[in-house]
Formats: sequence, structure tokens, C-alpha cells
Amino acid sequence: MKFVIDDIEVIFPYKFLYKEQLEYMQALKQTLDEKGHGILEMPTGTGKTVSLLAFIIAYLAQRPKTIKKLIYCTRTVVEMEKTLEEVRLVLKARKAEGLVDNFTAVGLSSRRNLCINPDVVNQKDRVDAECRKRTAEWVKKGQSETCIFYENFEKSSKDVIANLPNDVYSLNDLRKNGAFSIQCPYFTAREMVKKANIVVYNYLYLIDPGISSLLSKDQIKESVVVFDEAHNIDDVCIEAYTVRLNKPILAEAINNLKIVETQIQSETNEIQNRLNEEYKKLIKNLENKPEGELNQLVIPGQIRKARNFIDFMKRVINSLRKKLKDNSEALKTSHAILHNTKSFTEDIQKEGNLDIDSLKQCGERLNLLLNTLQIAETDKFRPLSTVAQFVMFLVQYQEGFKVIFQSNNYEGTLNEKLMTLACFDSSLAMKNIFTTFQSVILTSGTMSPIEIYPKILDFKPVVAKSIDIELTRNSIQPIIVTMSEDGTELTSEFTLRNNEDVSRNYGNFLLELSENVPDGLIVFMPSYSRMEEWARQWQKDKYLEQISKNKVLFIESKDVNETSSKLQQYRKCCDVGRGAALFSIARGKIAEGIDFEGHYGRCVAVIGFPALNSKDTLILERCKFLEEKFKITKNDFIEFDAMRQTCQCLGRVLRGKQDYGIMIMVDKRFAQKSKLQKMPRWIYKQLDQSRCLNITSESAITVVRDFFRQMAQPFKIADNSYFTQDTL
Amino acid sequence: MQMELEGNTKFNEYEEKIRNHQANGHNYQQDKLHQKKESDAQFLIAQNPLLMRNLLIIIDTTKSSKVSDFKPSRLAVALQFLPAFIEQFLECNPLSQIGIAVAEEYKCKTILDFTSSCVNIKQYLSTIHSINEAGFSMAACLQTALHVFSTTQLHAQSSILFVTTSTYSDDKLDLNEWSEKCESAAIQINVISFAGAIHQLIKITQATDGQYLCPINEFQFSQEIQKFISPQESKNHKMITQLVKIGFPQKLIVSQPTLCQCHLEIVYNFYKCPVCYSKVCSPPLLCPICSTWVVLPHQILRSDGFNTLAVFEIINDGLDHICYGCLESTTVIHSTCERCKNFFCLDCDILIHSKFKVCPGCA
Repeated sequence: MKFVIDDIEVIFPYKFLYKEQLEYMQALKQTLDEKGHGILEMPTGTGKTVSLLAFIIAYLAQRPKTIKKLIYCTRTVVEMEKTLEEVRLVLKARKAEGLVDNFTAVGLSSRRNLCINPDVVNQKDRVDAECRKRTAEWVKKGQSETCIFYENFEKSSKDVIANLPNDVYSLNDLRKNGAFSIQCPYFTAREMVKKANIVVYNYLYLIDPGISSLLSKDQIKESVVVFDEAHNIDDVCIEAYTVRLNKPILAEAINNLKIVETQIQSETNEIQNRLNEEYKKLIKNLENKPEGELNQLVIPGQIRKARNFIDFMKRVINSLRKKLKDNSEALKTSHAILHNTKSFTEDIQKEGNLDIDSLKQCGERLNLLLNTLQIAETDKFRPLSTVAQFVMFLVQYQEGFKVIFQSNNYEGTLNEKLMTLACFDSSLAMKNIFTTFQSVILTSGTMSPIEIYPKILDFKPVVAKSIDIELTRNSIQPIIVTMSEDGTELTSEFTLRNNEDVSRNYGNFLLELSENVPDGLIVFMPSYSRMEEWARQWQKDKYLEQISKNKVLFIESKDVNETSSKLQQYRKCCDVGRGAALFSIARGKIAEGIDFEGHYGRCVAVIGFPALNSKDTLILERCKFLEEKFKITKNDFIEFDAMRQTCQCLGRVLRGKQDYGIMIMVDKRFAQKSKLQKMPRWIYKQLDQSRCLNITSESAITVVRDFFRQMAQPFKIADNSYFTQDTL
Repeated sequence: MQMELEGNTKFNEYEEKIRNHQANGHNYQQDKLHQKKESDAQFLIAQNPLLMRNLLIIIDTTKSSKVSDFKPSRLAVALQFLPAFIEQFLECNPLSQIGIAVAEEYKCKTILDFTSSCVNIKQYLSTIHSINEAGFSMAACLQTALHVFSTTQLHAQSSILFVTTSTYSDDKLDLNEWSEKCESAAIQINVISFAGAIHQLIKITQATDGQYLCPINEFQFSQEIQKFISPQESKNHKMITQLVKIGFPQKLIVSQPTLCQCHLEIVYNFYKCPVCYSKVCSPPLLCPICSTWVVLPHQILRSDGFNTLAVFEIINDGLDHICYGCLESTTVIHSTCERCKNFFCLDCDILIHSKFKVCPGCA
């Protein structure tokens, strides 16, 4: 269908346009018109992506002077493929309307997803290294193995890529084309990204400091950047700037250095020549340096010579090792040790006799050296580059970082000490993006409260809007359960974790649910450890046995492959009418990005309040930082984080207007006013205050039964909630 | 005191209504007209019979049937409204038979083979009770149903009515396989559920042109179940023409207790098969001895689509007529049978269409 918003003519690929989609597009238009940034919240399953794409593409076509490029960032490869298919749909609809436009859409992913060389692609984790081995600059002479796909790519002129027909190139298409013309899809995609006006790739291509520098040359200011599912963007930003070191990594780094050293010391003429060349080049750079301008590529004299650099890195690692050792002793008595970045830097400098400028450039210098020595196995040298990154961040940024020593509780290894350079400032990664691009749009199903995002990402949006959903029938039913039948307060509070009453009542409630929910039931719990505790208790009290009579029971595990095969079986069980229950973690893989449409998800229960562990030093420090800089209190942040996680879980169940589902939150803390305010409007609106808020588990079951009977009645979407071509 | 007051006001209301009726005859007539419309509509629905229908009612008695969200319990509600449904079903489909089965833990048990004796069915219905174990299995039920239907005539339309209370179907067999078998055997599957929509079961009912209903409360249950009375159109059903041996029995009333051949029960009044003289109690049925189809003449007449009765036309000529039914004079509004041209008052009209199904004038 075709319609006009102000003066933009939008072609929409579907016959119906929901009211909220129109509202969403109007908000988008405002953002683009004012050349600013925007935050938009729209309920899940209402066609957010397609309305966004249809509108921006129309805008690109009709206002080519205002914006030139769309960069769409997704979190996963699956989402990326989905988005590209939607782009294809929109472009097809435009073509059917007789519009001639020159859009090229391309998806960019890592080598691992794009490689088609049979020798390389089978090596799974080593794809990157194997590819570099075959495609690095120095391999051209044909002495060692080469990649025919890459060679063909090199031979064909770049014009061919520029002249590829306008179309949508998904990862699959790229691979197919590559196999057909025997050209490397990965490098083709990288080349195409420069020219294409619609680009889809992962968040990290913009956020991660290591990767984003690769692409930064070709960015144009007049672009729209869209972050889809952006509710967790602050975590991604922080994670990208956080570096972790421990004893094995440091030991590995030393080993790396030794390998490099032996290579340098080898008497081969060739290597010596190359090293000399490199040195000369660096000196030359120094001479050419324009007056007064800071050139990034200038390497300080201390580390200009390869031998000196090795020496320098050795000193860095040794001083870090000493620090780690000293602090490990102290960790025996305390939980975690904190260091200011400034004092920590000074300590290291003194210890190893290091100067700041060299520290700043050591990452750059390391890359140069590896290139010169023609070392392609970057994965083997990861420990060394991690160390380089650690010191680089340490010196470069003062504010918002802390060095933390604590026991490693991430991998469950033997009482191992971990040195973390933790970043707390999520605005750091985004600052670049907000200044580089004209319009940045953050969008997701759950971004409430919307005011907090501009604060923590430190920017001023021109549009911050939460769009409501219009439901013909009450197809979502949020319920907040606070008490069990016998009056026990249901909560996952830390102080009550050993209370058997609570866990038994939770088990009983789940049993009742499993009896009354048809098809799929998904249960989210706060953490793995809590789930294990409860499961043990329920096993003892025979709850699990009884639940598995009503539903086939699946439990999420940490292993990704196992979980995905479990998911498949889960779907199958729902398909044959047996019904299935899935126990998973509120912060796990299933909670984000996996949709349970239709009968796969009829009920989501969030058991317990999925708050961050407020005893964890990292989180405490982050809260402190947020309080200092943005005046967000610790409680506010923890609640905000828990609620957005909860709402993400709840959002899994509604994937369209025909769909229906129950959202149950079981913890007394959910009923508090401060938590309710942090719920997205579209969920809060559906919460029947008198019937579903603060009720016992028994009355909740009554509501559940009524709801499913109500939803089984024949139903048609009301005419006034959508537009057709005629009614517009 | 308050009770009394309330009672008083209720009483007053009634009195007022009656007074209104007397004072304003028009209102009363309007009500009656409305009633006539409803009974005519019902009559027309039942006017579309297939010659023979076999209905197997499968009742889910597993654990979830004990749940008391329907008062007193789901199963009790089902058993409360089923007799009325069965009565009406047999009334509207005179040559049809009903069988009863119950779904238990992972299996299904027929407790009554096909019969059209209403009394008998009611008796067996009252013996059904809930069990403690969970484990409703749709596939097991279909397996049993297929077995039961394999003995019935090909020309009859066969359908299953599930009364389910579970939210799942826990099958040891492959449900898809058995539902496909039902589909190819042209067995229609209908479900009336107490527990919401189960995706797979909806799919099965749709594939066999059946219905999936889900009443919200007790009253709606009694309403929704009526939808199964009139036969639904079925794409799968192939009309198979077959010659059937039919006998019209003779009714006998005796003073000594006698054992009937069909159900082996003691009866005092029974029918005699015209071929083998064996005693049967409730036509229509297949004579257990000689396999003659024993039916009463009016049953064939009614189920064959012969028009024994049409909707009466309303005449508003303002003249006085004597009602052929109750022999009282009617005023203002009355109706007439097209065939025998007799006049009837609205009360008799409604009675004839809802109960007798035969026009006394024509007969």
C-alpha cells in the first residue's frame, strides 16, 4: 500500500497498516527532519522493523540530500538475516509500484559466517587466523597456501563490485554469488559496504574500538544509524571497553613475546631487512610530521626499534604480573580490591620505568610488528594484544575506569585471581557514534523508563517516544503474584534463599500453572545458582515429577548447542499437543532474541526478581559512578536493570496482534510502585489493578483459567485499529 | 428485614409485568412472536438431517476434570448438561445413535456401544466419575474410536465429540498418524474444551471439518453444546449408497419381566423384530440376532427430509378464528399451516414446532 506522511510518500509492503506503525513513522520523520537522535519504544510483534525500513528507505529516496545512507545494527546474525529479508520485501513493493531507485543493501558479518573456502571454513574457531594466513599482504608470491577466492577478488578490479546490480545481498546471497564467481564473499562485502546505501551489521562494528577503527574511514556524516533491540546497549558499550587479565593470560603473553623475540634474533637476512625497512619508515613518518599537528601514527622513540619494543612489553607484563601477585596475597583477606586508574598507572610506570606516550601507542606498535614479521595467527597472539589493549585503555581514559582485583567467578575455575580494567561509562563508546553520524535511532520493544537512556548514554534526543499498542481484545494479561495460598510471601530475596517454604510454594505454583496453561510455558529464574537450588528442592518434594506429567520439561543449560537442540525439542512438543515447559535464566540466551510466537509461548512466568547481584564489586562501582556522574541512585539503576530484563522476558510471548499470552511475575517486589513505574506503558496499561495486582497464587490460577477460555473464542481484529489503502 | 423488602420488590415487579400484559396485549403478543421466531429457527436447524449419524462422545475423566472452576466440577457440569443434549440430539436426528467412551490414564474405554435409547445412555452417564491420575491421550481415544466405528454402517456419518478438561494430550502413539486415519475414514472430530485452546487439537478439528469450542461458563456450555446437534457439513464425507435391510417392529407390552436381546436388560415393554422375532428395546438399532435394521416408521419419515411440517405463516387479518390445536378462539395474531390451511394460536404453534414436529391438521 501507498500513503503520504507530510510530504514523504511511503510504500508499505503489507495490505494493512496498524495505527501504532503510523505513529512510529511520524516520530521517525521528526527525528530525521531535525537531524537529531531519537529513542523510540514500540511493543514487540507489531512490525517495528518493517515500518522503520519502509519509512527510512522512502526518506532516502526522496530526500537524498538530507541523508545518504542507512546503517542498521543488529545483535545477532539471525536478526540480521531477518532484517535483510524485510529490506527485500520493501524494495520489492517499491518496484511493484513502478518506482525506480538505486538501492543496494548488504549484510556484513565476520569471516566465520561468510567464508566459503572449504579448507578454512571447517576450522570453526580458527577461521579468522586461517584466512589471514592466506590473504595477508605478504602471501601473494605464492610460496605458501593461498585462497583462490581471495586471489580472484584481488585480481578483479573494484569497479566490478561497484557495478554490481542494485539488489539486496544477504549473507546467503553473498556466499552464493561468491561460489558462483569464485570470489571471496567476505572481502566483497567489505568493499560493498563502502558503496551500498543500506548496510546491516552487528553492533560491535560501530561500538568495539578494535573493529570500528577499520570502518571509520568510509563513514559519511549524512547517515542514519539504527540500533535495534537497543535496550541493553549500555551493557554492550561497557563490555567492549572492559579488559580482563589473569595469570595464564600473562604467562601466555610472555610466551608470545618469546616467539617474537626468537624471530627477531634469527639471522635471516630477509627478516632483518624487513625490520630495518620498518624502522626507516617510522623515522620517515616522524620527518613528515606536519608542525603542531598530532599524528596518531608517530611511534615514540623508546619503542621504535623492534628489539626495544619487545623489551618494553616485557617490562609491562612483568610489572602487571607483580601487581597481580601482590594483590592476590591481599585478596585472601578481602573480597575485592579496587585501584584508581591514575595511581595504578603511576605504580606501573615506576615499577617498569615506562613512559606514557609509549604505553599509549603500544597497541599500534604491536600490530605493526606482527605485520612486519608476517605473523598471521592472530588468535595465538591474542594474550599479547589483550595486554596491549589493557595498558592502552589504562592510559588513554582516566574517568569512568577502575582496576579491580577479585576472584574469578566467571568461569568457575580454581580460586583464580582476575585483574579487570572495568569501564563504567557507557557514553564513552557512544560518544563517537553520536558525533560521527547525523541521526542515531535507538529502538526496542522495552525501553522504559525512556528518560534514563539519554542520561547514561549522555546525549540529547530530539524525539523520545513510547508508542502504545492498540489491542482489540486483552490479548496480554500481566499478573503480579505476591503471596501463596497459605500466606507465605513469595520472593527471591537473598535473605530468604534458604527458606524451604518459599521454594516449595514456588514449586507448587509452577505445578498449578503447568496444569492450566495449554501448549508452551516458559519460566524465567534469576540465576543459574538459584535455579539449581530450587530444582534440587523441587526434586526432593516431587514437584518436578508432577510437572513433567503435565508438560515435557526442559531446562536451559550453559552450553549453547545443547540449549538450541532443547529449544527444537521444545517446539516439537508444543506442536504435537503434548505441551512443554522451559526453565530458563532471565539473563540467559533464551531471554533475548528467541521468539515464542503463537502456541510456542502461551505463558511466561518470571519467578523471582532478576536483580543484579548488588554485592558484586563491579556492579557496586558502576552504580557509584552513575550516581556521581548522572545522579542515578543505586536502587534506581538496579531496579531499572531488573525491570528491563523482566520485560524482555515478558515480551517473548506476544509476537503479533493475533497472538495472546499471559505474563506472570511472581515476587512481592514486583508490586512495589517504583517497579511498576519502570514497566513499559503497553504492559502496564494491560495490568488490571484490581484483579491481577498483588494477588495470591490461587487467584492467579483462576485468572489464568478464565483468560485461556476467553482467548479461545473466535476473534477478529477490530477494523478501526488498522488502515487499508481505502481507509487512509 | 432486608430479605423481605427484596422479596417484596421482586414480587411487585412480577405483578407489574402481568398487569402490563393484561393492559397492553400488544407487548404480550410481541413476546410470543419473538418466541415463535426462536422455535422456528431451532426447528429449521433440525430440519437438515442426514439419514443416519453415529456420534461417539468421549469424556475426559482424568485429574483435571475434578477442577472446580466450573461448579461443582468440570465433569459434573458436563454430565449435568449432556443428558439434555443427548435427548435433543436423538430427537432431531431420529435414526442416529450415540456411544459413550471415557478417557482415562493413557487409554480410552468404551462404556456403551452405539444405541439410541436415551434412558440407557443416561444411566451409563451417571456411572462416570473422575479418576486421580493425569494422562489424557488423544491418540489413544482416536484409536478406540476408529475401532468402534469400524463396526458401524458405511452410509452413516460418523463423528466424535470430545469433552476435554486437560491442557495437553500425552500420547504414547503418534497423534498425527491417528488423526490422519480418522480424516481418511471421514470421521469428524469435534472438541468442547474446559481448558482453553490447544493448538494441535484445533488443527485436527479443522482438518476433519469439526469444531473446537471453549465455553466460558456453565451457561455457555449448555448453549455451545447445542451446536453439535445439527449435522455439520463435511467435505470428507463421501455419500455411499447401500441397500439396507429394514424391518418395522411390533410393540408389545407384557406383565412378566423379559430380557431384551440388545442390552440384556429386564424390560416390560419392547419391540419384536419382524424377521427373527427377537426382543429389542429401543429402535432404531441393528437387530443383534439377524442384523436387520429395526426402525419405527415415523423415524424414517422424519429423518429422510420428507416435509411433515413446515414453518407456519403468520396471518394478521384481525378476524376471530378457532385454533385447531386447543379449540380456543384466537384474536389479533395467529398462524396457519400451508398444507391443511388450519389456524393455530401462537402457543400451539410453538408447541408443535418444538415438541411434536407433526402438524395435527395434516396428520
